[in-house]
Amino acid sequence: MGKLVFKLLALSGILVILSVLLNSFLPTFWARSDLDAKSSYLNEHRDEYNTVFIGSSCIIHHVDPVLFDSLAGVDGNKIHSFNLGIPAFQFPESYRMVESTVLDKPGIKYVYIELTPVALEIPDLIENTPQNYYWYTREHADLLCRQIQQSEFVEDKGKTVLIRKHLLGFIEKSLFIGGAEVLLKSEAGNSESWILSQCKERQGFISLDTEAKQNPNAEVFRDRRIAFESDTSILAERFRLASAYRIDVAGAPSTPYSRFVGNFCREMESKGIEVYFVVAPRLRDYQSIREVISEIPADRIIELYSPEKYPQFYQFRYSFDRGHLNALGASIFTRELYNLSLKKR
Amino acid sequence: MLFNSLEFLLFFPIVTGLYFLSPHKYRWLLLLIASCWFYMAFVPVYIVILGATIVIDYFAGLYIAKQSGRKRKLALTVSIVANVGVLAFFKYWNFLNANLTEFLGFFDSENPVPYLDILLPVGLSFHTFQAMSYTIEVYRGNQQPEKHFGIYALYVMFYPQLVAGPIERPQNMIHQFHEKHHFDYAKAVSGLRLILWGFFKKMVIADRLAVFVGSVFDDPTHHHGLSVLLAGYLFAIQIYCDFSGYTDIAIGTARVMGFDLMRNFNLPYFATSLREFWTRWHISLSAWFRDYLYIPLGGNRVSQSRWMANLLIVFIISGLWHGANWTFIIWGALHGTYLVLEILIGKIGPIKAFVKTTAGKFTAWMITLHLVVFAWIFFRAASTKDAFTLIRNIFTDGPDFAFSTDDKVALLFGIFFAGILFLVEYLTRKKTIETVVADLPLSARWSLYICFSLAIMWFGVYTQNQFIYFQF
Repeated sequence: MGKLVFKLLALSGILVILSVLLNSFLPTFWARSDLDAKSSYLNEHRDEYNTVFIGSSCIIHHVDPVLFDSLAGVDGNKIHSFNLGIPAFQFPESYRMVESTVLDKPGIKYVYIELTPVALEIPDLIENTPQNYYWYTREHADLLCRQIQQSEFVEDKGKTVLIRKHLLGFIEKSLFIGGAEVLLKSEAGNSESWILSQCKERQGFISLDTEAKQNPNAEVFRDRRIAFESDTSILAERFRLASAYRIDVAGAPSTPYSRFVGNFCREMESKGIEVYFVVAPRLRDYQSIREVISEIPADRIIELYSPEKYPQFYQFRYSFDRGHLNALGASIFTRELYNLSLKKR
Repeated sequence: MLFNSLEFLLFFPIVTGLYFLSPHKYRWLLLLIASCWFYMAFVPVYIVILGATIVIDYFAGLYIAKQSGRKRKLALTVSIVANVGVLAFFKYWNFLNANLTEFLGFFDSENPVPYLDILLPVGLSFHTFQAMSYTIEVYRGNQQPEKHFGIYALYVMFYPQLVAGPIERPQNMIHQFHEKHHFDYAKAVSGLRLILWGFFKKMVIADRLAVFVGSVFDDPTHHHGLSVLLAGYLFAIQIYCDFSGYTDIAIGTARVMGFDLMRNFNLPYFATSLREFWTRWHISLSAWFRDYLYIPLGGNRVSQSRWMANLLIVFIISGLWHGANWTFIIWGALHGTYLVLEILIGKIGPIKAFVKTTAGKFTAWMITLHLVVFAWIFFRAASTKDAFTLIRNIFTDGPDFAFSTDDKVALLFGIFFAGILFLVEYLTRKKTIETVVADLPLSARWSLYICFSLAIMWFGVYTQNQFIYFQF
């Protein structure tokens, strides 16, 4: 029996080595048509831009670089910005985006990143997608597990389940288990040519009103709008959540995520890049960003969630759907973003 | 518990290790507990049903052996009624009720019989048939009744073949549970080779093809021409890889522990006649129907018309065994009809001579293959209406491949690996795959292990798709 066990272990060892080798030769793959289109566009026009906006749908649909640049131009700031927002992007993907698309472009001086809570669970939308692979680089799997361990929002039993899930995910991704399927699977949705056209015309910004009219999958966006029109009660709920939240960093715990963001911020500064963190309106969870805010210099936090300061962001007139602004709301958002960051300089 | 799950990856080595470490007298208990654990991973409460039939059959076996004359027959009848009753209740109640509703609908009457909101116990048809073969064999005097209740329970519940066969005979299995198995290196390696081959068939081919096949069969109105045709052929490959993959893992798992299960598949798609196909496909079920239904009906030792009727009856019941749906009945009836026609046409002199030639064999192989594939359409379709829609759509124009580029690439991978499968099967057609691999030089053997393991790791589908035959 010992002989068989030894041979099985030897075979397993060979398989592990070959899988890890293959994985190290493969690029960290994202395979999202919208991301590929935006990244390749930015690479082709690498010398044209000095500012980028990175984040989820709250960036791509809310920040209009054309307007931002013109506002800066009026003030004599030479800004040429690009919207790198990708729907459903969050930690750690946003930071990966900085590493892969910003650091090799010496012309970039300002980076705006949407500040989101660390997602302890992989959203269904990206589970087993190529995008999911970035969750399982060694350092992020490690960070995620430590963050879960320290989380005050997850029960002990839930922590074990989550950590087990992430560890298995890490092993699975490291050994490329089922990897061929993931590699083959690219994000359905926006076609590359449509995104590229928006990169040229709107510097990467796409308002949801435009999506509902021109996107090849416009039906999806129209359905979202119809669903929202039939029940707008979510606005009041989001308003209530945001109203109850006050950024109070006193006593905020230092967590692996907050330390990561703090280190990231300092690293960017050392490279001469100014990073601004945007707190967008209508978050589902504000409490868990408190710890991160405590690690970031106050002048780098751009709060755009407050219902008192920005009641429009919670009004139907400026909304497209349950979580996003329409074109009108986006122009207000962009103005305020500019006013709270570069205008202050 | 699914073979293609992380749980099984831990379960199998632990149980096997404990099995060889345990004293012989406790091994049955270990295997029985492991089998209960395995079964209860699906729907735990159904172990009660399984337990009840095991108790009935155990005592029926003892009683049959002790008694003579009518009492023996009565005990056998009780056992068969209990087994078939459970099967009928869980599997056919709602089907019969739905047909009754339809029938009464013709007379504008309402059906007073309620529908049951129940889930079919996994593998019910398999262990019911295996249990029935025990009491029948005891009744026929071919098997001594098993006095050890635990061993008898293990005969029904032995986890490798509990949920999808092979449907074993007591003569082949029960004595193996009494025997002391020492660890046999050659046997264990042979078993592991089969397991590897089984996982390759299931995870790399069957589950990969299932995506395309499912998209066509689950949406028949939107697929036409080549899409439907391709889905039909690919389902034939999918179901073969799914079921024979399961069987290979089952046989391999048992073999590692020293148990020999019967062969259930023998290159069925190389068959040159329907009769040959049924000696190569799901052999344990074919043999069950032959021994316990076809021969008692008179088999072929009756008038020609009765013989043909016997064939039709057996195949229609075989279809019904697979599932409570008219699609399965039609599938069975089709195979029965094929066999009847094959026998009748085979008697025609020139045809008899032609099939002995190379061209004749090739033609016969092609015809057999296509008849089998055609029948699979009914087997896979959700309803008879869907099946006829699909068949009609083969000949109508419409958009083909309502499919993304990525899915097409995935499909190509599935087809590529299916090509490898049939190449391997062709090359190993005269021996079993385990013996062919065993005869290879060390470097070739290890290259194969590595290649197939990596194919499973990298190209396998990891969404834990259930085996198709579990539903039966």
